[in-house]
Amino acid sequence: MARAISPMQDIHSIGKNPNRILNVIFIALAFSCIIPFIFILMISISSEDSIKEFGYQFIPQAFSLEGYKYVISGSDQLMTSYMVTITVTILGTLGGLFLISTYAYALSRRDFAYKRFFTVIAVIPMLFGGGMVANYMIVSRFLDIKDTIFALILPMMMNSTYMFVLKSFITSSVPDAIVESARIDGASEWRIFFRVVMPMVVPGLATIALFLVLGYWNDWMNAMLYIETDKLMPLQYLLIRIENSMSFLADNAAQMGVTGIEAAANLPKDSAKMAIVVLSTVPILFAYPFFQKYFVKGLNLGAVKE
Amino acid sequence: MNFKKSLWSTAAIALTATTLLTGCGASGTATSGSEGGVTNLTWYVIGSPQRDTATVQEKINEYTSEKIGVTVDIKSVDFGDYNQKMQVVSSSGEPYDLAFTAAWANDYLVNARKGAFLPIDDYLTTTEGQELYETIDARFWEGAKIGGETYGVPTQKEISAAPMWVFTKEYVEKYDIPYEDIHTLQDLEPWLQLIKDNEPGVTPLYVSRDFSTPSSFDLLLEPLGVALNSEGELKVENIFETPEKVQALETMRDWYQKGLINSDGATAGDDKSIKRFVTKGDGQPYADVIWSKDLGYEVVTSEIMQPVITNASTTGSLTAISATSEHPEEAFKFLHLLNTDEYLRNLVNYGIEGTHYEKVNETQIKLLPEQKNYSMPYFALGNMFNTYTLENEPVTKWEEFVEFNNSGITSPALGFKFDPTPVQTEVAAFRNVLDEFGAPLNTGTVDTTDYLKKLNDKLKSSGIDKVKEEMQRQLDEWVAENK
Amino acid sequence: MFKKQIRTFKRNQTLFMLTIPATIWYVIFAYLPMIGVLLAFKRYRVNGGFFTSLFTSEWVGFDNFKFLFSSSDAWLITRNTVLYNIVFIVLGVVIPILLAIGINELLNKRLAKFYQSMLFLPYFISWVVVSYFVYAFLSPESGWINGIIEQMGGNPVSWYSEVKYWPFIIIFMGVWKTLGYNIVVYLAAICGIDQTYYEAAMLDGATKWQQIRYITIPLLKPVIIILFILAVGRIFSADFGLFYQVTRDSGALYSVTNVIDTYVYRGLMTLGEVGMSSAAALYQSGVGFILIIITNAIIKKIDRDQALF
Repeated sequence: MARAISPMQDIHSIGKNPNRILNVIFIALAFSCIIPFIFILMISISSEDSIKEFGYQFIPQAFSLEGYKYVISGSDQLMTSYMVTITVTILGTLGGLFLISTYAYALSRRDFAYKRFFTVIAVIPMLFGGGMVANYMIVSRFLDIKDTIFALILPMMMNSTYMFVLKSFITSSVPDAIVESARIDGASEWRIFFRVVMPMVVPGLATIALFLVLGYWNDWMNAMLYIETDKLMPLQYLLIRIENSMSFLADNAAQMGVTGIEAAANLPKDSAKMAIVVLSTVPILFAYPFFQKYFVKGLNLGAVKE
Repeated sequence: MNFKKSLWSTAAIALTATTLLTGCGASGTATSGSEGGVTNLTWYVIGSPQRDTATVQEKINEYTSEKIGVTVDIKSVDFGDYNQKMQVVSSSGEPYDLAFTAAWANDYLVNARKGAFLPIDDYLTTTEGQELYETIDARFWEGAKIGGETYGVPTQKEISAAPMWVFTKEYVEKYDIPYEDIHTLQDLEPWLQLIKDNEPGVTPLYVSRDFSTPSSFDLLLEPLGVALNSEGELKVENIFETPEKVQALETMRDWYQKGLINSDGATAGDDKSIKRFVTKGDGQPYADVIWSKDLGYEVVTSEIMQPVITNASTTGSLTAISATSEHPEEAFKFLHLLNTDEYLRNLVNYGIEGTHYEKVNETQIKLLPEQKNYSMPYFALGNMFNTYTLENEPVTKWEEFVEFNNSGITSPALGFKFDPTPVQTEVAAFRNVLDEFGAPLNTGTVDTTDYLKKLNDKLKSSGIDKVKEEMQRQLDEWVAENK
Repeated sequence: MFKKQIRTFKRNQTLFMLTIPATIWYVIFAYLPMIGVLLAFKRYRVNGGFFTSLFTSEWVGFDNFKFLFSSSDAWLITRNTVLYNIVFIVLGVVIPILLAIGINELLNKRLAKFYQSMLFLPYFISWVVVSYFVYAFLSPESGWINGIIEQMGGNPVSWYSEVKYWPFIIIFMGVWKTLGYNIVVYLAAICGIDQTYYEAAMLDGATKWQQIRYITIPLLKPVIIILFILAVGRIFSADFGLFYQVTRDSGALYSVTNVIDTYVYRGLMTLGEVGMSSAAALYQSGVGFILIIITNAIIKKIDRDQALF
């Protein structure tokens, strides 16, 4: 009974027992990752009084949707911020994919004469930076894009790490022979890039796209530096500025005295803060499976072939 | 070689092309400028951006443009981001006009030294300047002086730090505790013991990580400073070497061992869910009202010691004119009006009458629900004594503040500002040492003798003696010039 | 000479054109701001615009760097930073690869996807929020772990002052938070492996283990090596939030939690010297740069094709 499957599959996939062990490991891991999130979810639906009296709890004494009401009611800031974040993420990811894939492909080609030069061009910025003030100068003065959506998109578009990762994907999954034969068939370099090489590295592109999406989705630094109108405020910054302010007020409590307490009283309450965490994370979690299919596809392919 | 050159020139051409392209799109974002004789000022304020700022700002500008030909563009930056944002803005030399500054945010001293703020002494000698000067307590001005120059207009508010014991009223009443007579640590001890014995589940003295034992010392640069009761010669001392501090730390250790203090003091934030009998706070008149509201139950207070007026307490809030301002004169005019004109000050503070608040009588107001869309940090917006009081506050609130301000003892070193530049390497190590040992010592979590020795040894090896010497030298110079 | 170069250029024209968009980005967003590196050697004073201020500020040579070496903690913070990073580099390669292979082998693909999504959750929670969560576990007075210990009749532990537990807590939290993110690269790389290799191996009767050992891991090598070289470059930098927020900046733990980033942060809080923070950053990247060059040279010796440049 246990060996009802064909010998071919038997070697291809693992046995039942190793599978059980793996499942146990992954359940434990998944559990450790999901617990904090449930914790956050529970705080976001706790009543403020119960937080004040009993602190953070897994099962709050009293439930309340006040946090969500606070975040959603009164203005369309939340919707605006969703739109800003989504726009920035989409445009930035597409732009980034273009910059990264073109550069990575050129570097992946062993016969590219200026390979070394462009590699060094990409390595140095990973290490040396001019600091925040100098970057600010470029964006706000030189490019003059402060308080525009470009200030959220452009500074993060290129990324050397992602570029090198993609480069190594290309080197390992696109054999030189394929490029060579395409060229002999008379395909132009552009055609080779778009029609031959790119389709072969879809999992790699999906990885890079996912990283870009996450980077843009979670970014708040650029918003802090460059954005001054509410219309361009991304979602993450709504949350981070509350968090930053809470830690600042806690750190400076001694120096600020009563004024600190008054200032803290004006900040959104814990439940509202956690509500923002939930509201800003859930959409991106739904976006994840979209990318996921490119990572899991490969191994299903093997099964289909049989 | 040649190729590299051509590479770079291609890059340069491409670069110019992009700048031209992007440059065309936005032709000079006018952050501040004049239009039709009215000057627009950019004003950075600490605190969360408010929904109704634009509406209130319109109203402000209506008034100020007519009165002094100035309009303002209020830019609120959240508490947590204010330091970083202002550091970038001012270091990059970006033109702006006014900014909130203090000892604890957008550091007044650091920025003035860096050259980010404009000295305003010349403006203070004008008629308007004189009027502004007289509106604000002279000791604030004294505290704002750096090397003989003034770099900002201080906010008229409480001038001293008043350390207080904050008692939970419930237990004070239950055990009939004469809280008003409790001042020193020694006064407190028997009552802590009483609570410990009779109220399980209640922390007798609740301390959090920023707790420090009360001391009569003006810290010029932690841990160095001068004793407040110094007479004659001013001597720079390390506070952790003064007998007063050592004794207080020993008391804390003793209490910790007796279980009179919460055991997690060294890392605790102020956790409101912890039931406590007493805690320490830095207060001002009517602070008990604010604390009660914050904690959700009634508290009563007693002064630990006479309020002290120090360099830090006098620079708790100022508004500076930027060195990069293109309209310093107008900026000063605005500051003058903000600090002397009641209508403007209240408009900036509470918003629009009828929308955000309504008057209940001549000087008192009631906040309306719409206030939630315009809750500004009152203390950061200029002369507080010109603001209306709330209906649940006494009419005489500000008179009592004046009285309170007059009751404080003034630090003998008020107005002396240490310049750490010659010893910056040594000073950089201090904070790390203090953060490592300070909180554990102050909350009694570790052995006093042992850890005090570790602390002082580490400060010594970081070069505290050199800093002390330099500070003493600067202090002596200052005394010679000013006393 | 010249002719030859033109010929080379012509041959590489298209590839060259492909690099141009990103090169322009590099010039604007990476190379132009690099002038800010000069700050590290200046006592920066504002005097008009940024460039004017930069050039009129006084040169101070290496003065701004001194604070990184003069303190008695200099050795400690360097040691902590480097040791944690070595552990993170090793675990950051080994654990995600093992898990990525594991996820790939799971029989139920739906479950595999589910686990993968769950592992990603921590990445979205900021360190500040993580620190609340850790505190809920470890709080000496009201933490769950102490609650359990007390119920079982043990003595409560004051977690935030017990040095011995923290290297493990920090490593665990650091790996935990980036796990989902790190797995993705290897998952994608495994997906990219040509299935014919495995089929050939199966025909030869290779076991699952042999397939992993002789096909999967060797083919992951390019990615592993690149990520390794890049990680080496950051060996002097640490994740500030992990060492500052999660530890609640507890002084008692500094001997195992103070790293270069937290030390610099505290040191410059009172001074606010832009030059000194630039100096610290330059020091961190300078060391990283040297290490990258060394690592790359070593790799080049072993396998020319795998080197970064």
